[in-house]
Formats: sequence, structure tokens, C-alpha cells
Amino acid sequence: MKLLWKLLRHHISIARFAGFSLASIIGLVIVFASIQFYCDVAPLFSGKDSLAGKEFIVISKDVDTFRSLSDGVESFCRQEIDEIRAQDFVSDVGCFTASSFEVYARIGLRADGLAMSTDLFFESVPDKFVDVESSRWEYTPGSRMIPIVLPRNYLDLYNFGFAQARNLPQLSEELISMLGINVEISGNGKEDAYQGVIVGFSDRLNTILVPESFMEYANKEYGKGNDTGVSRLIVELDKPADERVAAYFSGKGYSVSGNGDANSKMKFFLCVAVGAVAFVGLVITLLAFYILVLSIYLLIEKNIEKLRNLLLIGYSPMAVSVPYIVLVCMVNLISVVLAVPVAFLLRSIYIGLLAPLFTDVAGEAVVWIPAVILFVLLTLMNSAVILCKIYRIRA
Amino acid sequence: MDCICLENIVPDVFGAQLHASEVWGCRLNLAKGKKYLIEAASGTGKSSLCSFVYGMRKDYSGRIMFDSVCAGELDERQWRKVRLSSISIMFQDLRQFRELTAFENVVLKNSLTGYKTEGEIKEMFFRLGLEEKIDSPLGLMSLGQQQRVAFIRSLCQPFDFIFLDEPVSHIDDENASVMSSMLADELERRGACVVTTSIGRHLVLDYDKTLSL
Repeated sequence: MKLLWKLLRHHISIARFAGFSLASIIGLVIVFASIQFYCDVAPLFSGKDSLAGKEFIVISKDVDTFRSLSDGVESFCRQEIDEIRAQDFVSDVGCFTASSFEVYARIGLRADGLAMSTDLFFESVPDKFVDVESSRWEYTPGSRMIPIVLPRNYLDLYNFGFAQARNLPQLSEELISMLGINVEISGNGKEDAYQGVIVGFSDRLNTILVPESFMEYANKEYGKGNDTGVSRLIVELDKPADERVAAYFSGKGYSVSGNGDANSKMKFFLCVAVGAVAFVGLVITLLAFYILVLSIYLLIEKNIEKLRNLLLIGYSPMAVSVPYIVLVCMVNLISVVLAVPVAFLLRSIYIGLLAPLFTDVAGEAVVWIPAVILFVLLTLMNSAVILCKIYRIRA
Repeated sequence: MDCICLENIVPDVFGAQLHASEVWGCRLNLAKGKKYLIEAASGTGKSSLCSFVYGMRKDYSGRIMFDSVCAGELDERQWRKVRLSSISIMFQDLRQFRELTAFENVVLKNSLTGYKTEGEIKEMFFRLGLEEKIDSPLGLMSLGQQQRVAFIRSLCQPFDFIFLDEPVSHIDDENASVMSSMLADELERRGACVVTTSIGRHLVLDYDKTLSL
């Protein structure tokens, strides 16, 4: 093998291979960095939300001054709900059920008795809209534990407003889930204490959700008996970007909120942008690959007489291909090994830029996966080209 | 391999103009253990004959049989086996590697089969007066010296038949006679057949048959 290498290394042009490596490194860095960027940034747009992963909006009727002064809340009647359900861009509709009892909640923050307490309200939507493990999202009548989903911005309000102003500790989602809330429910001449367990947070819905089963039980138990009506609907959409959606609801005079599609649009654009950049990187990598193939072809052509003589004295095509395969293997390895740290350097730069905007940038470092895949793929393709070329030399 | 049989071989370039010959257009059996000398003028196809038998060229009509197998039907892998174990050749144009030293040229071939030990190879260099050239790049050696290296290389593999294409065209008588005796020893030990070609001077051996092309 040493002799074969000594014989076949003639005509290897360092400049040509350096040119290949440079082009290849540029292409690979772009591919690696865009994949890593996607993995780091995509989770920011898909934070775990306790409401159904699909696209939905919340609609309510516009509140106007006259209505405020008269009899309270405008609610949806059965006919209106059926009409919305019949729209072909709507895949499901659920009603919000409001509580007709009083809720008083207390969160103990310190052992010395400092506590926050407030009047609250509860709402419920059908369980299928809530993306919490079903065993945690159930209530059996008589139990003193109530699962609760809180809006994430309530926690933000506390952490960045209240806690800082009062010099109280900031709470993470995990911590507050462990703390629990003391809930007092009263009405209908009864008053009972419950323990609220926070099982999830939602960015999309500005209300405090409890399981439908609890709401039914509590409304019956503590409620005033009068049906409050349906004032808000949760509507699951097939295609959130459908322009008929906005037109339909505004035409009806409904106001739309809880619109979760901003994130999905962001994610889509992120996908497109990163995909385009990665594609450019891949094209550069493929062009570099082409340069390498041409260099190898040239090398083989220049050494063709030697190769023919080697085959004539009994060397197999495979044996004389090995030095070239080892060569491309080394060149590819060098390119990949140099490209990976550059990609990581880029990563540290963009993480630095994004850090003030997002608290938790950075997924796992995944660069090595495309690195290994591309290295293996490129080397296999190179090897196939070399073997083809050498098998075509007739001894 | 015990027999190479040439059945009506005619190079395509000859076309219809076939001169009287003891090889072309005839049936010729080359048997293991025999020594053949093919004498001919330049341009009558000595090297073509070697190329046909070694499978480098196929521009001929007729058949070449290795025992009962037709050479024309061998695939790449079978040819390699033939070239590694049954037929050795010393090309007229030598086909060595100028970038390697004399010794490396021989080792490159020998390493395929490990037929000779390093000591045996050096001994051959010594006998042919090349001991001081052993590590010289082949490209810096004279044609006569390169011919001797090619001769050593052709012995560094197992064979039943060895074809030497004008082996002493640039070699002095003294070295030629050393080559003759080395070859005779090898042939006797292996029970192999030799076919040498010549346009005048030739290796001195007790030939069983001299053929003219």
C-alpha cells in the first residue's frame, strides 16, 4: 500500500484540493449553521402550550357601551353556534362555560405567612381542546383537587411586575406548579376549600381553565342556578391563513382573539428562510463535490498509464482505487472537521444576538449529525465515482 | 495450466495478407516444461503474440486456449488469477515505474503473491550486477539495467508459462548468460515453459523448438 501511494500520489495538486476544501467548508458551514439555527430557534415559536396544538381562535361578540349599561353579556345562541360549525374552514367549535360561583384564591409564598390572595373566576372548554395528559386533567366529584391551566402572561405579570415591585422571589413554571393554590369556592350558601394544582400554561388563552367535569359539578353545587349563556367560543380552524376566516367573523361582528397562528406563521417563515439558506449551502457543497470529482478524474487520467500497468501486473481495480478513496476520505474529513467549529462559532454569535430577545435560546448542538451524514454521503459518492472510473480502465 | 494452444490466430491488422508462418494461422501447442524461441524480423507480430496471450489485446481472429478454457471468455477476475499464478511476462517496453526504485518495482510485483523472499530478490540483483543500483530510481537507470530489473520482476511470481519479449536486446553477453542460467534454474525448479522472442540476439537455452513468425 505504501508503494502504491508513493506511485499514485504523483500529480496530486495541493492547490486544487485546497480549493475544493475551501469551497466545501463554505458550503458545509452554511448547511450546518442553518440546521443548527433552525434547531435553536424553532422551539421558541412552539413553546409547550396546554391548549390543543392545532390552530384555533377564540371569538366573542363585540362589547359595546349600550350593552354594558344594560343587561350584561351578549351570548351566542344555539343557532349561531351551529352556523359557525357549518363553515368549511372550521373543524370544531367548543363553548366556554363560565363559573356562576365565587372563587377566592390564595398562594402562600413564604413560610412567614406572606401570601397573595385575590378574587378569581374559572372557565372551562371541552376537554378535547386541552392538551394536558388526560389523567391529570380530570376531576371526580367530591375530590378536593382541581387541575388548573393558567395563562402564561399571568405568571409574567407576577414575575416581571409584581414580584419586582414588592421584592418577592420570581417563580418558574415548575416551581409554581409545585406550590399549588388554595382555592375557596362559595355560593349557594356553601363555602368549601379546594387545592388548585397547576397542570399547564397557555400563551393563547387569557382565562383560567378548569376541567369541564369540575365546572359542571361546581356550577350545580355552588351556582346561582341561572344559565350564564355562552359568551365565548373556541373555534378550531383547518387553515388559519384562510382569508375567509377574518372576513367571515368581522362580517358577523365577532371579535377574534387568542389567535395562535402568528407563531405558526413565524415558524413557517423561519422554515422557508432556513430552508433556502441550507439549500444554497447544499448547492455550494455539491459544486465543491463536483470540483473534487473533477480533480480526482484529472489525477486518474494523469496516472492512467501507471494504473493500467498496475492492473496488468495483477493488481485489482479495488486495490489501486484505495489510495484515491483514502485521499478523498481525508480531504472530506478535513473539510467537515474544519466546518464544524466554524458553524459553532457562528452559533455563538447568533445566540449572543438573540439572547436579549429570548430567555432560552439554544436547543441541543446537532451539528455533528449532518456532519457525519454529509461526510459519509460525500465520501461514498466520491468512492463510487473513483471505482467506476478505475473499473473502466482496461488492463 | 499445462498447455496453451493457439488455434489459427491471425492478428486483425494482417487482413488477408498472411505470409508463411509457423505461428500465425496455424495450430500451435505450447506445452508446460518446454522451451520455445520465436525468431522473426521486426514488425512481424512478436509483441502482438505476447499481448494476445496475456490478454492485453483482443484484435485477432482464432482462439487461444488455456488447457480447455478459451482465453477470450475469461473475465477480469479470471485474467487476474491467470496473471498472478499461471503466466508471467517480461514486456518489450518493460512497463515499469520510473518513480520507484529498482527494488521497489520488484517488490510491488512480489508483494502480490509473496513468491520470493527479500533475500532471494536481493540475491538476483546481486547476480545480475545490480546490487549498487538496488535503491536507485528506475528512471535514472540505463535501458539495459531496466531490462534486468524487469527480468527479475518477471520471476517474482508463480507461473507455468513465462513470455520474455526480446529480453536481451540491450544487455551485454555476460549478463545475458547470467540471465540464461537463472532462467534455466527457475524453469527446472518450476517445470515451467518459456517462450522468448528475438530479432537476432537471444537468450542461450537448449530450446525444444524454434519457431519463425
